[in-house]
Amino acid sequence: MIHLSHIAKSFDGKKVLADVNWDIPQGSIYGLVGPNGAGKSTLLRLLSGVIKPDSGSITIANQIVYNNPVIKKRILFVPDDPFFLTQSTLKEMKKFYQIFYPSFNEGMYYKLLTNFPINENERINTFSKGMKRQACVILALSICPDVLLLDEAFDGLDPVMRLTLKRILSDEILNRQLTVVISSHNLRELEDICDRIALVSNFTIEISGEVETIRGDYHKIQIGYKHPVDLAVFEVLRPLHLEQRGNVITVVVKGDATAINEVIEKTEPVLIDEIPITMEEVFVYEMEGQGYGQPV
Amino acid sequence: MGSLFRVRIQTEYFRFLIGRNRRFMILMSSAMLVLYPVLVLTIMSFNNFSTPNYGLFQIGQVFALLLLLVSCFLVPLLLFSYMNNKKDLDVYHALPIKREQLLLTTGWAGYVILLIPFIVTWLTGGILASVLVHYSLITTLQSLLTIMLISSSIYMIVLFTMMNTGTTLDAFLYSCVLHFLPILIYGTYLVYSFSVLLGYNADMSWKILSFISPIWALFEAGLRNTNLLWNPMAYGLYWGIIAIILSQVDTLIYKNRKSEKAETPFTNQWFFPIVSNSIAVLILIFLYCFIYNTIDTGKFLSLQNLFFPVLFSGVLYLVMDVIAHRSFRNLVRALISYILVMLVTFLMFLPASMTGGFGYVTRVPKLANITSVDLKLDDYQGIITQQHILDYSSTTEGSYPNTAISDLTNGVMRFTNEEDIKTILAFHQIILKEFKWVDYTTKTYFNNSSVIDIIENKPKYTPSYESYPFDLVSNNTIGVTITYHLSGGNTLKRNYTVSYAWTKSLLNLSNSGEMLKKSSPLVANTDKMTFPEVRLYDALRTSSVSLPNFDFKAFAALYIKDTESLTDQQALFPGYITQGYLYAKGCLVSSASTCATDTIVIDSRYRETISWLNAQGINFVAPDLEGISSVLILPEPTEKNSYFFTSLGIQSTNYNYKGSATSTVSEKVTYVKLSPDQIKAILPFISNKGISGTPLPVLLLDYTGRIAKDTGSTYVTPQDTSLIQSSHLLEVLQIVKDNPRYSTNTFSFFAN
Repeated sequence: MIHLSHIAKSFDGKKVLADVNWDIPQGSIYGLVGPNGAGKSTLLRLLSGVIKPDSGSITIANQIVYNNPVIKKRILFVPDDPFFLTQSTLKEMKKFYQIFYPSFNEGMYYKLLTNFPINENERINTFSKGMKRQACVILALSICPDVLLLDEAFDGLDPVMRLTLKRILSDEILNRQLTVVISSHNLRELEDICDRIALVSNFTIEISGEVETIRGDYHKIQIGYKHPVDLAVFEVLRPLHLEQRGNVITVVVKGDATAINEVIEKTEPVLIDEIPITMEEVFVYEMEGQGYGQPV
Repeated sequence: MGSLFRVRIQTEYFRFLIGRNRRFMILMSSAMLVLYPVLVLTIMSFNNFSTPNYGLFQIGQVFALLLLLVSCFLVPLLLFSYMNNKKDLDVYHALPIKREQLLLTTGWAGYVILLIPFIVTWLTGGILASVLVHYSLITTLQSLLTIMLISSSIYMIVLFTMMNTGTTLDAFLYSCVLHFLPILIYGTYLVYSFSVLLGYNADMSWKILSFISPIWALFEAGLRNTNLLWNPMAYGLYWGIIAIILSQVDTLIYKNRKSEKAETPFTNQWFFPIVSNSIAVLILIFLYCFIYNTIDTGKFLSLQNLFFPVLFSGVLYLVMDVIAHRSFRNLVRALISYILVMLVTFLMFLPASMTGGFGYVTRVPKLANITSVDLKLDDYQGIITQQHILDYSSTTEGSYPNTAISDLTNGVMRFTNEEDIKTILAFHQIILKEFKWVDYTTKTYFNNSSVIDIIENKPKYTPSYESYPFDLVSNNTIGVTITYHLSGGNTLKRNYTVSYAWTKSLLNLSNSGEMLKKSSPLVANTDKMTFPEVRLYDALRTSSVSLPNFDFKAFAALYIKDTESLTDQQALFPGYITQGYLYAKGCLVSSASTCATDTIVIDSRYRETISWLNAQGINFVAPDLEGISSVLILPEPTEKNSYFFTSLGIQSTNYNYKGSATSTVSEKVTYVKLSPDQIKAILPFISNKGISGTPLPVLLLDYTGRIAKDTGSTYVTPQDTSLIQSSHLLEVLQIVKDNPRYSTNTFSFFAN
């Protein structure tokens, strides 16, 4: 559906993305994660055709996105800071988007209005941050795009509205194969809704794939010993995280579970216990492994 | 580029924008209507509409244009404000519309939004003006179209600035700068040219502004002012074409404008350096030349002139840099950059100045390359172009004529004869040789009379010109414009203010028919005039006969022919008997009420003219000397007053007789009073045209009331002068030998 090939982008000579290759299948819901300044928003802006890559190509349904209204009619980009025309109401914004998106579904719009407590004739600048986000979501979903690009989509929504949004998105994906890319720092949230995750770091997409596959590749193991153990024995595993509390070692490693277990067994542990790892932990340990966020 | 013209407006979005901005249009319409038609009606109501005046409407129109100008800045800043906000820009550029189509649609919507209030106001005012002061509705519509086209250019320049800047503040600031920049460029060019380029011609200076500044053109062409080179509609087309070009440039920039640059001062890295360096250079040169021209520091190239301009433009440059970067961090870099700019400026400026504009000053075309030469002389002394009398006072309305007739009677003379061109080339060389004494750089435009003093006081100064045999008034200058038409179709135009003393060589042009444009403008312009009244006077203008149905055109043709057949000696020397004067009233074909009168001397040189007159049964009448006083003023051999050398004829009545005397001339003159018989005896020996090499007696007549009686004119001062021909000097002295000699220290001979 969406294909990024060797994408590079710099701003004022400062490299932001380099050699990014990424495929997003139709009907998937992709979570885009990465540290601050990694280039998540830039990737979304490239995907939406707002900016032009310095090199490489971005195609959606085999068509170049940049300055291509035909394909852009099928994409909707919702920025982290919601956009509304000055002094406008939701009704006016509806008219604005109806001009550009023939797919705008008025039925859906009024249906969503019942889900979200918003008066379409009220000026949006009187809305709270959460209500503005709700208004944005109503408009975005009413457009019925094939590709929905959400930058920090859940930011500002209360838990009930988050849940509502998640449900609607799930329905849309099921009903009409909507493809969604959501960037967020809240990995727990992404984990709940996304079936795939991409980690942007070091100017490129370091990790990309289905959530379960990624999670299956990471192992958090607690190991108990009768006597103190030299941590150097675990170096062969190239752990992402290694922690010792008395005779108990917690290690986070990436790779084949059998091979890891073989190495650990050789250290004669009295207890081996694999603890479920969250995507947030994967992200934190991966980033720590790259030195991100470590005290100087 | 061609694809840009194929972009279409997104009509739904266009309508959406118009609808969203209807309140702005209502507000602006209200403001315009209040300041134009409502204001005019209010003022008129104070007089109960008794004195309708189109001038009042023009005042209202100025207000309407000012508000339109505000809209031209405000509307694009509002409609395109999304370009200066990263988040907004992301949304707009994510919309499924091509960038060029988005620009075109928003651009047109903005143009319509700013125009609708103005159109409503202008048409309302125009209809009222049509009803109340009978002002042409067609003209109102033409003005409206002109203004619409010119305002498109102003709008496009603001949009161009927005394409290159990333914040609304910078967009506004640099829109103002870009609108002011052409005026600054032209002002600098003018002040530099006046300072450095001797001979620079700036006779179109104000008119040029309408070509380089749309704001200037908006008011000049929009209000149909007279200070225009073209029809106002042509300015509309001109600026409309520029707006189209700018729109294409804007589209190209917008297509490649980087979204990520929004909210930074400049989205185009070249924009600020080009603008700031241009301003620094222009201010530097402008101030340098301005100081040179206003404070007398002597030489053009001097450090004293340099000090303030360098400091001022330097500080300005640094301030611009701080505003542009929103930081003081670049100050050192900016300072270094300014020093470089300053050095480059002077590296270009100095050679141009030292070489007289790379040869501009000394360039005189070769004779072989010249097809014709236009000469314009502001010869108010009338020594070179001896004008008999030109009286504007007899227009039907009794007022001075309008510019049309003034231009006609002060027309440019065009010389095609090789000898005449040689004369002008020689005169041009005299000018250059004289100004060379001050290296062409001492003040040449302002305070010109002093520069001539400076030249003449130079050590070892030797004049390059032949002097007049009489003294001229000190610091007496004359404006000269020479335009060479070259064989390649080009022209070379130079304008000088020179000492009158340098002009004697131009007397060789006296036998050119072209000189009649100045000396006898009615004779030279018969194709543009009708002649409702013609009279023939005697040699002393004491009596006249009316000549109804006189063929003035035939007369003029022969008069020109006779003039052109004269040898240089005949043309210059006052040795011919005055036969009489032909008085004519000429009115413009285009405006029958715009008239001037001319009195043309006919002397014995004009043989074919006289023969033709005789063949028509027209003979000169004898003078009627009843009640006329006269004196003969007898000069000393050393006399240098021009009055005794130049045969001014009746032209002397047009200016202060005494005023022509120089300080070196003795105040006391000897004269004799003449009886009527003596006047008649002297009559065959007087001459009324030419310049003598020696002082000659002057016949001075007082016939107050005589002209008034004949022509109804009250303007002419009743004093005529004639020179006694040198060849008959002894005969004349013999006639008056017994008359008592009087002496006076004034020229008020007839005061008592």
